[in-house]
Amino acid sequence: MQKLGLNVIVYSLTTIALFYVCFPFAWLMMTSVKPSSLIFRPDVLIFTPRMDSWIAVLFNSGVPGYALNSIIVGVVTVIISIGVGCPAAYSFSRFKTGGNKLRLVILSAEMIPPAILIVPLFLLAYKFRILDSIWALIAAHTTFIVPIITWFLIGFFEEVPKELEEQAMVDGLTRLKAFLWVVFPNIRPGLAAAAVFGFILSWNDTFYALMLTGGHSKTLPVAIAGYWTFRGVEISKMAVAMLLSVIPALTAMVFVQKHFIRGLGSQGIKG
Amino acid sequence: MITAELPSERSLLRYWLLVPLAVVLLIVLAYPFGYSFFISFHNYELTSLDDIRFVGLSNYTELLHDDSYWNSISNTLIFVVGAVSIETFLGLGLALLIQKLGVFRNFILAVLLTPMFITPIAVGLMFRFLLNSQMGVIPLYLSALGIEVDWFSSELALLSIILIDVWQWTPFMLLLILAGLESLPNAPFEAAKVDGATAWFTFINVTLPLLRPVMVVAIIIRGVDASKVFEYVYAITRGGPGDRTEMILFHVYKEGFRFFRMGNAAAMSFILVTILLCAVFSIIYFLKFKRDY
Amino acid sequence: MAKIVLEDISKFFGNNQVLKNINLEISDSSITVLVGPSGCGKTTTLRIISGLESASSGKIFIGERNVSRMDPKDRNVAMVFQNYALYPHLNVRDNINFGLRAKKVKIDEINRKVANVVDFLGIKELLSRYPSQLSGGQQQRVAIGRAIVRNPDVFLFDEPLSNLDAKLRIEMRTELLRLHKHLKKTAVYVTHDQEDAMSMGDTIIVMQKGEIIQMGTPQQIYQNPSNMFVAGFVGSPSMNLVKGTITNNLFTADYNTFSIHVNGDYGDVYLGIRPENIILKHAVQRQIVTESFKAEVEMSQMLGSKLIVNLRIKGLIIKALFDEQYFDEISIGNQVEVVFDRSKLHYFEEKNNNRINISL
Repeated sequence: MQKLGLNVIVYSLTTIALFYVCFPFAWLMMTSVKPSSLIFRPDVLIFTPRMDSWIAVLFNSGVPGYALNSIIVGVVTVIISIGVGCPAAYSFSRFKTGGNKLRLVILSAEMIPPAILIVPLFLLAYKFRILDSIWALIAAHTTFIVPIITWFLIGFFEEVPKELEEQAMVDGLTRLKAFLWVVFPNIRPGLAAAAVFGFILSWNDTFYALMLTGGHSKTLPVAIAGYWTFRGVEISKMAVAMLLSVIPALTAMVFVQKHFIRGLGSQGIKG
Repeated sequence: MITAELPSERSLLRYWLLVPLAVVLLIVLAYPFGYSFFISFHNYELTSLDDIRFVGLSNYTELLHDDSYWNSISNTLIFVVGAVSIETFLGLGLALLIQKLGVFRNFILAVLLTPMFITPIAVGLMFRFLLNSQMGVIPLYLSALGIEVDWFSSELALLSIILIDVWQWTPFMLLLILAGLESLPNAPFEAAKVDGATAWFTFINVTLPLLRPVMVVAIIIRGVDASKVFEYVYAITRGGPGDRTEMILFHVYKEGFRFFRMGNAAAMSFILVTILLCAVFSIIYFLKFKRDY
Repeated sequence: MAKIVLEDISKFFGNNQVLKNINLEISDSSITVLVGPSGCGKTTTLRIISGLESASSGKIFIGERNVSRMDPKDRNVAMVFQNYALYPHLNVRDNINFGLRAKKVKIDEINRKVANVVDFLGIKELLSRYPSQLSGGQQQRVAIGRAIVRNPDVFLFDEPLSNLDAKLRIEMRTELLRLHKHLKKTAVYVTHDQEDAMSMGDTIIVMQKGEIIQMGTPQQIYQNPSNMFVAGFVGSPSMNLVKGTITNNLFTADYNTFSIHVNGDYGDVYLGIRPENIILKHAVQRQIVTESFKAEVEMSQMLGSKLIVNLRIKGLIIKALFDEQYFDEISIGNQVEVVFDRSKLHYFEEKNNNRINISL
């Protein structure tokens, strides 16, 4: 009998939480298909959906192009992060370079408020004429994504016992081969999770994107903000853009969740 | 145990492996950081680039008397404390709840985590319209219940921003705390059961203490992140009404990109960093004094 | 102080039945040891007694109370876990008094009880230390202290000696026995080590694959194993088991390696003889022995004052235990003549491994 009561409480609280989370999404979806005459009538819930906004945004605007910019920036940043982070993380994990202190310093790099860097980055981008280009943004994004990915990679490397590579090296492989054939396959899922996380961080950034891009190099978040024009807000189209921006994050999350929890858990305790 | 390089490897391989990381961070982090520091001592205005003068500490001293600056610091502080405490509380509650779920656990967890993956500016704009007094859905339903609330009035605007942050970032705390809970050893809990402790006693005396390291890390990470709040302010209130919701990053943005006073902007951000560092270090230091097992 | 009764206890994990209709009675103030190979269900049984697991069916009684549906905290049992399960964030004092604090006992009483316990266990100086600062043996004492201080009806120990090295193990055995003499409570131990079991228990319960194979005193288990599994499990070095047949009053080992006269006609059987009951023919004193056999010494190992010898009789190898005084004649390659002590022969049916009672 006790069990039943507990279950009822647990599930009703959970339902409330779910409702709380889903409500705004439901609103978004509804708004994206509401005819413009009804936008300002929140009390009207039943109507025939109109795909005008979707068509306008998907086919008649720069949004897909901006989304592409976001993708490019994200992918390039993540690639740089992994390329730079892997050897570093290997060094931290296997050789314990710098001890715990250096690792904390790396993590603290992520904590630097964008405020500090935006001014010089802006000025430097201006000087090197890469303002309003994705390169400036990539540079800005690496400042916080490289440290995070390195941090995750350290955790993943630690999960692979170094005896495995040592065995491989005794068996005749070079360290590099041992890494590629023994360590790397074991961290692949975690690496994928970290890459996705890094991509999402880049995808979502608004502050740097606003300052460093503007014209055709705009990224999606900036485009979304752009729907708030001096003419008022085109809510329906904005809703479409928002939903578009949510899709990669959601899909990624479905795959990434499990590894995330593991990686964060082990780091959290050690941290 | 510290591994050593193999006989055939350069004896400093461990440092060579760090070179790419160091190069990247030097270019994008260290150099701009230094440059920013440099600028903060100058009168650097984008509108008069040929008139850059060294002004020593005057940017900093000006700030110490600048009311609007300190207002934005205090707003940010209120925001961080408010948001993080609510998120920690809710996150802990939800994590405990999730642990008790049976069948649909993974699905429910996935759904509950979605808010943190949406780009913050979208979240800001979304709530802007949801909470808008004229056309927002929420005030509509609330007034049907007899409650009239203007979410972005002087009194409530800061709270509303806090609540938006809570909507988006509680899942983050949930995630970290859940990860911590799952990695706790089973043995002490079984011992507590046999020792006769009630669920509540066990929670207070075993679960929470064992969870402390994870919670501290989570609070620090979330706290530092929260202090960077910008998107909600930009999307909804632009600092208003008045300067009730002007947070520090927005203030820097205004200073640097609306008024183009880069030197001041740089100085502001350095003071912010100093405050942050002090806060983080004092939290860590303070907690090191409690038993570290 | 209470006796424990398990009635028709079965336990399923999914489709896997780990306990099959367990019925046992543990008498008050006795030390009972559940012993068996891993997977036999002994730890599950212990956990069911404690309440950490619930049985799929059946009833449990502690004293006069039916505790089948009760949570561990209401059963008034104490458990010492294999890895001690100390609270890592609490010092020794708070670890020990945890249960008392949970029941909101008054502070003075708590302090008094803790003081008694730590004096008794000799861990008074450790009170303000934390588990991570203690050695394995010390941690175990703290775990025991935590159990004692609550004055439970029953003590449950899960593999208490398994984490200790050989020397410490023997010390701890004596300690635990002394503890029992003092406390006089019902105690149940679980171990996979038959030596621990035999040296500590008043009653031994041998389990295999979720069933109780035999229950009895150590002597009974050792001298009259009811089943081949028990016979082979208990005793070190273990009993020799030789396959053969008994027809027309004669046991013939397979491949005709040797024969012994025995009454009866039982078909396919296993003969069991413990190494210490194989005697050099010339060393026989007053035992009633079988016919003698010639055997070749294949290998010998010294174990303290005894020799473990591998003897080959035609194609069969059996182990014998001889006193070291015979060291000279037991060199590799030598031929010796041995006999078996008749009163220590065991026969088991081949089809169900159960003991056959054959009169001498």
